Amino acid sequence: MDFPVIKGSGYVLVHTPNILKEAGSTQTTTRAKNPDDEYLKKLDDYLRTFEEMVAYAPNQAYIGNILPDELKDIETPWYKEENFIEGGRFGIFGEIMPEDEFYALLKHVDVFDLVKLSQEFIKEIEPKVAEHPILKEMEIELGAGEDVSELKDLLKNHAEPLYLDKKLVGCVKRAHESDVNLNAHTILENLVAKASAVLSVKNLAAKNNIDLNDVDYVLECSEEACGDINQRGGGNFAKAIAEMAGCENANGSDVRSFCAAPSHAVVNAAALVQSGIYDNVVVAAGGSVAKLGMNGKDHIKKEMPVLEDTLGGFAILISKNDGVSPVIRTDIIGRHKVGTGSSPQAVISSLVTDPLDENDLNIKDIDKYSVEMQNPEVTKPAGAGDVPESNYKMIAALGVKRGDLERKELMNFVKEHGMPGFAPTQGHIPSGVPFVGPASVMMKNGQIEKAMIIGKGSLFLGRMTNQFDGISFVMEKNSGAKKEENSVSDKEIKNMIAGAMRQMADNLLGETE
Amino acid sequence: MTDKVKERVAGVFNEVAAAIESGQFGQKKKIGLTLLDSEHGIDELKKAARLAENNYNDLEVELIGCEGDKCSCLADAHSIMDQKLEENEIDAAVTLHYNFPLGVSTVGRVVTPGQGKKMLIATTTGTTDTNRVPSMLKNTIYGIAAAKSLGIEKPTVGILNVEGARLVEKNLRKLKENGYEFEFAASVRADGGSVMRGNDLLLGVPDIMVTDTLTGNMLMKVFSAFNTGGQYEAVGYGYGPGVGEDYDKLIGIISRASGAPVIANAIKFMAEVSKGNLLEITEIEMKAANNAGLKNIISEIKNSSSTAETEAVKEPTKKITDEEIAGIDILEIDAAKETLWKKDIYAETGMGCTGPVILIAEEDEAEARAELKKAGFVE
Repeated sequence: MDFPVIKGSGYVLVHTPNILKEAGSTQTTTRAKNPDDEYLKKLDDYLRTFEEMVAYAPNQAYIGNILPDELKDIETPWYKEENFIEGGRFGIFGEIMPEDEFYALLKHVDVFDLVKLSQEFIKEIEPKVAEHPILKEMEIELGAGEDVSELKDLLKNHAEPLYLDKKLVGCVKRAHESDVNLNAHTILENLVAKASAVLSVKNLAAKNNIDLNDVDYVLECSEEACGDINQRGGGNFAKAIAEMAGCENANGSDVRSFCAAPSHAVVNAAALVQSGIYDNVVVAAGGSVAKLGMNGKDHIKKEMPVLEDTLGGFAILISKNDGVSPVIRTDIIGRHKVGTGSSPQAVISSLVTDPLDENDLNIKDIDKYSVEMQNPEVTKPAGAGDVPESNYKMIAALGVKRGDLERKELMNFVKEHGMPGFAPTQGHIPSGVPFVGPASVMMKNGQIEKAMIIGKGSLFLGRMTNQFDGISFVMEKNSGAKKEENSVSDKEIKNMIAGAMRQMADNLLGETE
Repeated sequence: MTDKVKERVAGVFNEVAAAIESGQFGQKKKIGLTLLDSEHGIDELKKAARLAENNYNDLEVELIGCEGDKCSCLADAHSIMDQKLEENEIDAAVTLHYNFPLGVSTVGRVVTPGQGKKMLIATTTGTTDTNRVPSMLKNTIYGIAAAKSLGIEKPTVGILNVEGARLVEKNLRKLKENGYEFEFAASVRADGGSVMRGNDLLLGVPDIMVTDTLTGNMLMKVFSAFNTGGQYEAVGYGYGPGVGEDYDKLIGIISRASGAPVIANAIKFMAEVSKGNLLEITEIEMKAANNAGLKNIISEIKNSSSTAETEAVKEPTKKITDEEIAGIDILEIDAAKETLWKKDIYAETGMGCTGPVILIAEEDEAEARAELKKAGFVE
């Protein structure tokens, strides 16, 4: 079998403290209940600057300037200044973008003139856009801009504000008077998802020397829905992103499955490539506005910065086997089936040990497991614990039960086959895929051979079913050589020779007659 | 043709050329035989080696112990034998009193007195599993693997009427329904069925007689020594090759009482299973059986025998669980659920995208949280 490969990946983060304040779900619901809530008042004092957010070690891991394992050697809490690391806003997989540049991108990806920016802001941002390595190539036209008074009028007419340092610099208009699916808040959410996904695809191309004209198909896998009153969630983000990124020859569609969607999308993309339907398929997703500041109240309670000030995005290109890039072992796929059940043991067995068993692999044969890579510094104060660690413990506990490892090895396994969480808590973003980039690097360096990427999700959040969901796949270092054709068995060869000898015997007999 | 194929064709030509020169077609299987600890002395073993080489031209015997290799005890001989097997100096070996790892047991072969038919007995020594029924289920697969390596394409399986036979039969049917292919034998008794009685045993009705290992061991003795009083095993093929999942050596077992004719047959038996690729076939059969759910069946059997004691906590009335409580250590999540059950609060466990959770009905959430806090599961 000739497996498809992961040709490259792009990872971006966007620092959006103002969008957090205006549109994150914790903040909007709090404001709806009581506009003078203490939490909202305190919020400003607990937000980070762009520099603080860039120097934050997990963010540097996300864009590829350090490997996730290196986080083990950095003192915690990572958000303390003395534990900041250098690395800058550009990384080997992508970049970290400040909010002002992102507003320009937001305007650029909006094709219905719903994003309005102030004249003053446009003047300030244009030189920055002209210097940005990717934006400068995108022919971004921001126009003349609006008067701030006009923006204020639009806010009275249900637009969502865009602030910078408490200054109104723009807004997002609603797209329809009465359709809730097209109100300003939803349009903002969707444009943010689109813009951050476009930035991810652009970084994927820039960092891996990829010609986006070669992309045949885009699978988008975020947690947003776009559509109007007649087809809420109808789509198609993928094609909108492909258009803006410049994938002229691409077709596309959206894949939804809560947090598990990225892994589903990668497996689907692998299938499309392996079947020969397409040669190059991009899997991409942008960030989620709703989850900005989700655990902010707990963070402030613990006197720490509100760490969820960051949008995440990623893009992965899956292509035909090039003999170099890591392959996707499409014969080792773990599936959470409808009949699997929801108990932790059942879920992990279906995703981890069942596919290993089918392929006669041991739990230790996978060098690294990538689970829900949520940054524990975000989740622990909110009472959700260290998410990656509890997943690793479950895998290890199953291994002990099966006799793959001894009980005393349990914590060692967690350390060696796991890694610290480093992804922003953006729902689908942390789900397995953040390690695809680092895994490729580690395979190139000869540090690992096999990595399992596990995407999981709870579907009952949508109140349609109580089912959990999940899918896993294995990435493997490319062995280089194409597979030797071994279709002729020894026995067949012997039969061929025996046949030839009989013919020879017949010939001899024929001559004597 | 690629170079690789050409090389293989050339190899076959060389083989044929060698065969024409020597008059011996096909490679001879090299079988090791340890020379210690037989009740009949070293000479009986040497006699067996000569007998085997004279009777069968497709094998040669390599004697291990006492002469070429200096060793004074059986353990030394075993380690020399293991090494030779590992380095492929010999294809298979015959020995006695050998300790197989857990999971490996031997498939013996007897000549039944009723009709002089050859029959496999699965299994005859070693430990397949610590649990009786799972052990006999695996014995069946081991027996089928051995039979296929002997060239019996569609071997028939009978289950000896020992304790657990009906459960074994029921679960084998399940395997068969799930797609694991094999045939049941039919008892000669009027009431038929695939559970075998004394008559079937004496006649050799099935190709493979499945039994527990202890009974199998006793049957071997009876079949091979019923006419000599027990001190000398005169007929049959010995206790057979050790078979097991992931086991990678071909070692055949005889007993201290085995006589030269039996040992010679045991040597032949090992040459045949080596030629028939028993190790690969075992792997294929186990995989096929596992694909048909063997592992699940076994864990079900084991669970059903253990849950009876542990299922002390009663499940409260089921409720719609629309809230979740996170932050409980994965290793304690089931204990946490039981703590709630004991308080008559309905809860389920789940593995969401943010790790393990307790699923709970909205109206119970506060109370559940308090209980979990009291019990120290959450902060």
